[in-house]
Amino acid sequence: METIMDVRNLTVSYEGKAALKDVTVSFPKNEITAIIGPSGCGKTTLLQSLNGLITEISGVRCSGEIQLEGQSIDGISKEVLRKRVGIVFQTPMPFPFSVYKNLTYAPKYYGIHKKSELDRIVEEKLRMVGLYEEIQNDLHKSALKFSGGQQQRICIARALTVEPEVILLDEPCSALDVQSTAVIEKTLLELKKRYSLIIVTHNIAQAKRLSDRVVFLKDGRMVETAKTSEFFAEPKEKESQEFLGGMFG
Amino acid sequence: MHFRSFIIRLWAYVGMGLVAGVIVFLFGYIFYKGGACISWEFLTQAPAGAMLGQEGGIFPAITGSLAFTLTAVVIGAVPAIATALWIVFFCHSKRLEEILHIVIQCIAGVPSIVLGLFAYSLFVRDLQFGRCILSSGIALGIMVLPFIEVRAEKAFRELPQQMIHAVYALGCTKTHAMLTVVLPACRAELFSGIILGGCYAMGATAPMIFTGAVAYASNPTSILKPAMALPLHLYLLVAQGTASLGIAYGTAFVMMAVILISNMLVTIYARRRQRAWKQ
Repeated sequence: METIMDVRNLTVSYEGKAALKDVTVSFPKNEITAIIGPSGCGKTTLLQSLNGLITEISGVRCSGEIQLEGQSIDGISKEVLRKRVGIVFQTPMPFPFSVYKNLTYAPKYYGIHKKSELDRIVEEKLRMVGLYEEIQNDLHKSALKFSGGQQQRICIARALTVEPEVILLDEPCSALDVQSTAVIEKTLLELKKRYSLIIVTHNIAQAKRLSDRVVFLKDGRMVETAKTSEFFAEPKEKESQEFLGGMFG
Repeated sequence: MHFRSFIIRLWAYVGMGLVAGVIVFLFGYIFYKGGACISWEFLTQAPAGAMLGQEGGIFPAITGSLAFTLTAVVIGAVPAIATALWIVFFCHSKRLEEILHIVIQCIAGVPSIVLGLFAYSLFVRDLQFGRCILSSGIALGIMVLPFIEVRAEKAFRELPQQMIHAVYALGCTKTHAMLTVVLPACRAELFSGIILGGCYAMGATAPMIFTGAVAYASNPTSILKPAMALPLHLYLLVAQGTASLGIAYGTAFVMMAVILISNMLVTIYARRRQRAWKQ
């Protein structure tokens, strides 16, 4: 298995309280890995550790090592790391600007100012999330005026504008209805051809439908990681069996 | 239980009625009394007469007040917004944050006459700025700093943390996030804080008396020169006795109209911006 990110003995604590305990796990390239587990088990903490966003929270302490394509992320500047490992949050979080401005925000920051090039990026990324046809006439409308599902796809498209290698998704469908969820899932399956995706989800059925691999966390520990088909057919650990059997979570 | 809820309702309604009544009476009284002397000449001419102000108008006091206010908000708003940004986004120590909040509260608690005295001794005398708009502007700026800081900090804190994280997530620096997302997203709140702070400064008399406001001056041409100000002019008119009282009401009318119009414009602007983005 070719991996894109490797986590070794990661321990994270918030003001002295451990949220992740000695987690070691690898994430494969060009696949979708789902991180699942009961509430408060450290899923989001693990996800935010992967692109260093966790360090923005005061009172957090981390130890252990995270590698991106074999290189420790401690040796990569925060900005470069976040450019290479993008994130999409639970609540759709477009900037309070037009769709066009949202999508050209990062390219402009990285020095692209040519209108034709910016137009190309906007069109390409919106097509990748299947939104271009829907909103091509409303590109200069406030991004906040679109539906929740559309806003979330705008956010995914915005994350793609920096050409990341990995995209982290923190329960991207939890605030959306069934129809929007289906569209986003379809988008993610398309995206895995070009990117490696790591998704935190509360929805076991979604993890089963979408992911190639599952990481199961409980109480901040990594209990089991396996191919999705194997995990759901025959979970090895007792805690995984109990979780899937609905005994907790 | 019913009786208790009746009493609370009664208290709320009577309280609301009293506050609304007092405000309506105050504005109505001043507009009624002052409206009589409002004319084009009053608004556009300089004061004249044996007892200054009894003839002519208040134009230099209007322009002077605007100059004092503008200087004050520039001097106050820049450090106020920077402090709020630092506290919300850069300060990692809870203790330091608490200390800064105490300092800001202390500044807010300093009586305005003391600020005037401080500006007089430091800027007018020691640093030899003399009595000028700048000296008063600094005193007023210090006075409005906590006012603007508290509003700016509230606006920054209400901005979803994830929106800032979304900027970091694109690999952009914190400074870039501040300049391109935080400040534009909070523009309406910041603008309204600055204007309300300006209204507060415009009404203050004590910090200006020793530092830059004078009984008579022509329209301000430099911040290094003294100027007239509406509140001081009003004070002097009242001090002259009943003969000047009508003109004093006229001056109060203009002051309140400027403040009311500014407040209304800010509210309309903030609402329109909110609607434009959030529907």
